[in-house]
Amino acid sequence: MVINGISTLVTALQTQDSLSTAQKKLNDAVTEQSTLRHADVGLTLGGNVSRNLNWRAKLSDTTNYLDANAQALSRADALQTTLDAARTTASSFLTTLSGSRNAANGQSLTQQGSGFAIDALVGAANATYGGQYLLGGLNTDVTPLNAYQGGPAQSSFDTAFQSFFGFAKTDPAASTITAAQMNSFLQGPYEDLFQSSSWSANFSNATSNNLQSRIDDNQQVDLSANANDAAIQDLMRGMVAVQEAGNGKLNSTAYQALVDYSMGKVSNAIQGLGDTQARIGAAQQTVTQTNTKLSSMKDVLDGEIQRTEGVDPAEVATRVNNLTTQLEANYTVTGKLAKLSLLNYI
Amino acid sequence: MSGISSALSNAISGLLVSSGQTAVVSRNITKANDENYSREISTTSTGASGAAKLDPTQRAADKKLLAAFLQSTSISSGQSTLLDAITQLSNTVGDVQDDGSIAWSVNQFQQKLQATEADPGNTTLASQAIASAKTLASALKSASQVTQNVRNDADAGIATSVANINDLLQQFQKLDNSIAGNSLDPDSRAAAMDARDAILKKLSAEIGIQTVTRPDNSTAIYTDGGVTLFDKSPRTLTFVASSSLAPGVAGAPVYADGVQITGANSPMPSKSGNLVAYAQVRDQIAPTYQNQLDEIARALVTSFSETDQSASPSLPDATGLFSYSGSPAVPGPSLSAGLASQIKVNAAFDPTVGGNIKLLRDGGANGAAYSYNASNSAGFQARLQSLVQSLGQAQSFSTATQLPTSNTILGLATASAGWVESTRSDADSKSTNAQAAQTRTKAALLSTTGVNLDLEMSTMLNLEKSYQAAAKVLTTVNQMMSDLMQVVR
Repeated sequence: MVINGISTLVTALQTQDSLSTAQKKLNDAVTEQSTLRHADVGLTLGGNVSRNLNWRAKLSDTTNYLDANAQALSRADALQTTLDAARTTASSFLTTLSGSRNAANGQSLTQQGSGFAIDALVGAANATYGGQYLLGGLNTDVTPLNAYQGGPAQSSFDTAFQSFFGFAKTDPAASTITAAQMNSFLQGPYEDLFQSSSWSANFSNATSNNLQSRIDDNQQVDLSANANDAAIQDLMRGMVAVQEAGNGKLNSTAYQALVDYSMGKVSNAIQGLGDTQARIGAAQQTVTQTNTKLSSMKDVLDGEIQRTEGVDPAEVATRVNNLTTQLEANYTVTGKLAKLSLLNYI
Repeated sequence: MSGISSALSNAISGLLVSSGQTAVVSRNITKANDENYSREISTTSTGASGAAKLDPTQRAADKKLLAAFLQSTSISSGQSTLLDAITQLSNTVGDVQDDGSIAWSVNQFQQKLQATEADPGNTTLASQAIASAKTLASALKSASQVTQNVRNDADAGIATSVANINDLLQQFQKLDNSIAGNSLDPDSRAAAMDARDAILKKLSAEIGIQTVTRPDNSTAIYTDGGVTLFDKSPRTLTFVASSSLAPGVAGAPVYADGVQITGANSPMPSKSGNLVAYAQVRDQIAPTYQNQLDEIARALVTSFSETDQSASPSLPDATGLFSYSGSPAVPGPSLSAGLASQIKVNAAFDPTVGGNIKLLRDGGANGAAYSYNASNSAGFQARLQSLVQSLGQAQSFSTATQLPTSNTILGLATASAGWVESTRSDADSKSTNAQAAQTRTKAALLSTTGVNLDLEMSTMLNLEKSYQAAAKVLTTVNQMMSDLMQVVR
């Protein structure tokens, strides 16, 4: 009978092999215990790496959108405050107008009031947020409205007045202007000052299109307004008319026609500003809703990434224990095997 | 008296046999830790005179186990070479949570571009976008560099492997001829056979082989594709190494005995071993990854190209933010080999080298005709919007990427990372399995041909006893003879 004994070398090689395998496993398990992720995530995930990279890109996009949306929302808040200021200016000016329509010193009251109101409007319209003009449209780097006093608009008005009536606005002959003449001036040459090209030349540096804000992969919303808004133009119409034409020289009928025109325009403006604010408010609402959606998406992605790349802390702790025990057993067996030689007995 | 004298001659032959067998045992013990050593077996038989005599020593060997071990060695060493190369490629992807991968760079760039789109007048955001474009371009470049290094290393690996095989075959010839020539004494013959098997083991790590032993004990070697490597004399492997392989340039194939044994056109392709693994890395895996990188780069260059904005456009499209060696011409819609190694951010955009950051918003890097922002608005959004859109849109990619052909740039980058990691994961499990198989076949082979110290020790005890017994016979015969002499005197 021939029995081939197992080769002594094989025993040694196999002991080394199982020791180094167990050590490698223990090493990986210890790494996993400290990072709570797989020791070699790429190897564990294999082809799913592309899925996880997509998740991570999506997660990063989502976080980014949430940040950007928060910023867009606070910019929109600043814009609402500005529009509020313009509306308050318009309302109090309207009160001034209606109070002074029949008053003896009405003309000087409204002229003074409109001066303040124009300055207040220009100031509000030129508000900035983060160094950029809120109402500039795409022209975020230039003041949306020019200062009125001494500006191009004022001299354009003077020219229009002079050529329509044949005398300057400060001329005492202004008292001869009738209500009908005043109305046809306001509908005619005065209105021309506010038509698109002369409006841009006289009053505004803004563009009529707004910056779009991207709030997620598929949505862009308009959270902006610009100084070319019809409401701001109306407000300007109403204020400039009493500021300039109502120069204290008018008779009461012409003055009342002027005030009526102005009140109509300012009321329109208040309405229009409200509409713009409502439009922006609705867009803000959309952003808030999108943010809610993005936050929950972020939670889902966080969870998925953790589920696929992470390890269960309890499981890995148990594994470390088991592997330690196994390695100890390996050492014991190796030691015993090394002692087990016929050499020790002869 | 014939009884006593025959006892004497038997005792002497017993002593001789014991000492001869002890010599075998001691050789076995000395070589117990040499894995190429085959245990020697000594047997005795009865000679013509009736005395014990020592047979020629046998060499423990098992051809089938050796063949199985050679095969598993080829597969295992090939897989581990493959895994090493792919691991280098997968370093360009890194851990998914780290910031190094191309997919991450694409993602960051996309975000920075969107931030610029939301606030086109903001030069800080624009310069961040350009900085992240540079990061992306350099990530592509360095991944392309790594891929080419892997290819060139593989080419050098083939050259080393071929030289190694040729050298081993030369050594094999000397041993094989002397074994077949029967000119050796039994001991040297066994040592020569051990050495010959050791060469086969080394050879099988380089290339998969099959062996045929002829009646005269000479051995012929064939590749696992069937090409003769050795039959009485070695056949030469020929290979022309490339000093540097550019992307898209194929490396030279390996010929054995005039037959092409690597590459798609080989009539008798080899199937395993280092040589084959290197060829696979050089000709298939690294080029596929390079194709993926080139397609990402091409899509970037094309997406950011500018078109003539004049009322009646007459100028050709020209490259914008991303340029390459062929700029300003826009690359065609098909794969352009090596584009990933050339891509860079156009200096006209780069503020660190005197470029104009606003070109990102307005276009016009190739002259005023290409400017999109006619009114020169600070908040001009249309160009940035179309760039962001084209990044988010699916484009069509070459089938040579071995990935879905319709994808976004980010989609292609993540799919490419997934491809690398899945290739690595596959190679890792194959390599682990192949190593386990090799360990098992090695244990099986060594159990048959290796030395067990305990067995040798017990044999030695036996020999010691029979030596003692034979010596005792001698002293007894001596005693008997002297007793007899005493009587005679």
